[in-house]
Amino acid sequence: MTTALLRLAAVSHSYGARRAVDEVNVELPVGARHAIIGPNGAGKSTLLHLVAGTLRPTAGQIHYAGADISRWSAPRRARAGIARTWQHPALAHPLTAVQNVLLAVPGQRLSALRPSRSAVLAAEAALAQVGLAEHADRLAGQLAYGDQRRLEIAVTLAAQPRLLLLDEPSAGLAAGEVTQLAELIRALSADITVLLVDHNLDFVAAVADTVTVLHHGQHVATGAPAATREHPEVRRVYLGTDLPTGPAAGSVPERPAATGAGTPVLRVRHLRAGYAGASMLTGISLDVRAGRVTAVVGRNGAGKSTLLNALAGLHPTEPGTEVLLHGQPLTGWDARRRARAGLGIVPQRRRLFAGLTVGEHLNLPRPRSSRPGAVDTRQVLDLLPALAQRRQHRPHQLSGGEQQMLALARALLADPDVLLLDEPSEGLAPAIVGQLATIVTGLATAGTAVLLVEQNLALACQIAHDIAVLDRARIIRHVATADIREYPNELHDLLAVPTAAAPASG
Amino acid sequence: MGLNVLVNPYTMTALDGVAYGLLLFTIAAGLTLIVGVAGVFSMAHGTLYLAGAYLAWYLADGGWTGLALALAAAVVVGAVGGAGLAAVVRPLVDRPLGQVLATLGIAYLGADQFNQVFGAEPRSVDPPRAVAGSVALGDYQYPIYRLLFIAIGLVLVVGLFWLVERSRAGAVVRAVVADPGMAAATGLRTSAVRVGVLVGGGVLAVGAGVLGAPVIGPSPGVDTTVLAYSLIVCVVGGLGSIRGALLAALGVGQILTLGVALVPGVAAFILAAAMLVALTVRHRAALPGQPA
Repeated sequence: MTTALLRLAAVSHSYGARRAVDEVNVELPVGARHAIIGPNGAGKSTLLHLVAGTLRPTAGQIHYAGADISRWSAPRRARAGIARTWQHPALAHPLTAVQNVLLAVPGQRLSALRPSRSAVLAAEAALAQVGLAEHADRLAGQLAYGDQRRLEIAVTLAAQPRLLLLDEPSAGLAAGEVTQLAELIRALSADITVLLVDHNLDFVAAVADTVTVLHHGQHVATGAPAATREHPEVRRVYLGTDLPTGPAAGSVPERPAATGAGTPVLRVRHLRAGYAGASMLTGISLDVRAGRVTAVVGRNGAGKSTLLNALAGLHPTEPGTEVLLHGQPLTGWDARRRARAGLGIVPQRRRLFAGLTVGEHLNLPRPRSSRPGAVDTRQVLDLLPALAQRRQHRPHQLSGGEQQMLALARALLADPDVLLLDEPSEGLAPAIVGQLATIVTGLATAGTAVLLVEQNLALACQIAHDIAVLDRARIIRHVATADIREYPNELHDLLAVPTAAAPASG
Repeated sequence: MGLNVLVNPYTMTALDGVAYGLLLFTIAAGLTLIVGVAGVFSMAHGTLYLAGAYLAWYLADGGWTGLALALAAAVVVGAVGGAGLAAVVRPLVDRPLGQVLATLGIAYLGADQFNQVFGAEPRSVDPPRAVAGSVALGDYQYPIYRLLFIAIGLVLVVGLFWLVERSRAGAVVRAVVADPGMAAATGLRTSAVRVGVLVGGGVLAVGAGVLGAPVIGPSPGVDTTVLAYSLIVCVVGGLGSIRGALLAALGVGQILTLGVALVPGVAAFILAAAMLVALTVRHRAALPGQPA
């Protein structure tokens, strides 16, 4: 370990008062294949930015090849041999594949009219290394998404890096492509040290020799992939088993519900959506019923938030998608029309309006005209008393729990028939999560159809009537919560401790 | 005694700067909301000001009636102009460069028409006779209309602040600036807000032209000058921020008057340097809770 290429010494980075990375120590020997994993908001990407130089640490040092590079600019680090890829491929689309790679080949003169023979050879070698030799003269923008990812790696390899940083390299790739990518990374020369961030734990297990688990910016565990999987602390952060599941557990199923309970209010058929050409969701079908809480669970990056945003009209869906609210197709409706028709969303990270006070937030929504006087601000404040004393405060002055309550209040004031909740427990203390669970259960009892997306399995089991498991862009299980409690190990398998051959049908 | 210390050539020039700054604020406040809410960099904003200034010149009769008529016409012209701009940029949603070109084309057409109708020579606009004279401030004579304009400007500042920062309409506008997608998902009519802001900004710009004509009179080229200063105010103040626009407009007003008086010849450079400093400082210390 004396030959560490990269050493992070108590590195921290704060966004305002929030510590995204909190005194993390990591050491990478030359030739290491190291992965950083952790739930959303764990600080993985921030850590990668700190090493690449796109962010500077607010405390601690970064040592690279014996020098303290904490204050170096990103270009200087790149010249010193640190190369990176981005979460979404950053390529020059109008250029061909080989031209993209040529941009990164070092030692070229700016004034040269045409690339030197040696540079072209180096670029072709990099393309061959990632298996793209036959696509050298195709435009980057015309390559398939998986090939764009490989091309990006070829670009970084052409720069002859000593340290390769990969930001979610497997995101948006099909299973076969992920396997190829893992082989490609394993086959890289032992001179190249690899540090990667990824959500796909199968991929991480196939590629990495060592894994660091982060949670809320803090180091949880480091070790071999198999050992970290079994680490009790890791199971806890991924499964949220530290939450109080006692009081409500078992009390939820089949309570006498309000009028019309059980009728599907929102029907989703064949929903398809994606990002930048990569399919995140293919053929999602789902019913959300009045008076019931349906939870969609799944690993990070499974497409849960994309699903809710697509339903709310905040993310485009692909043709063939059918979404019916009260039997009325929503195709082509924008977010406002969907909101007025009765879809309310509490989005991920809350998306409160910066600069608006709590009072102003509460004044924005207007109850839908079809159901006059159904809710007013006072009723919502009775439900969420924490907000009453905070009317003059702005979002950045609120605690995470208060922000979540405000986002919930904003959605409730429009009196939705269907409430879409995106990771409401994210970043909240257990006591607040308990309050939230009570409120959501109460809303369902009053007849609202709730679609909840959660990584926190304990919370999902506590308040949901049925649970859909999202994996690899589709729903692979849809069962009543009571049934799933009988097979806790199966869920653990699906969500946290994956095997190479996860069940493909439900 | 205190007054005599305060009254010297520099404070008189600084007072001019305040009037100039408030005029710029009235013009740029509309533009900053148009950019922040509708995402439209309207190159025709200076044209609206010039239209107002020519209205004031055309309808001026030396009394209050002319001014009142001009203001009433300004409301109509501004509303029609704003709605027209909204209609022009509507097919160009998400194509900011297309919008810039379209509004730039309108600005050229407008400038050409003004030349045809009003001629190429500068026109001077006299304020109503009742406020045309000057008043003694210590040893200096200061135009009454300029003081009146400062007063009107301050009323406008207070009114705009109330509208944008206190009323529900303002909260809706700021919500659309902060997160248009989420505003729509909250049930707000984001497209109506966009048209409304374009209309409101148009009325403000034409109205500023009528009131500001005795300060910056109508002549060819005024539209581009006013546009350039408004864009500077918008960018330095932060797009969509009324507070930022006020600070930036007052700063630009001082540089263009006091700056010219103190160091004639390099005022343009001071403006550029001040812009650079303001942008660097603002980048490092964004106002908390304000959309940057």
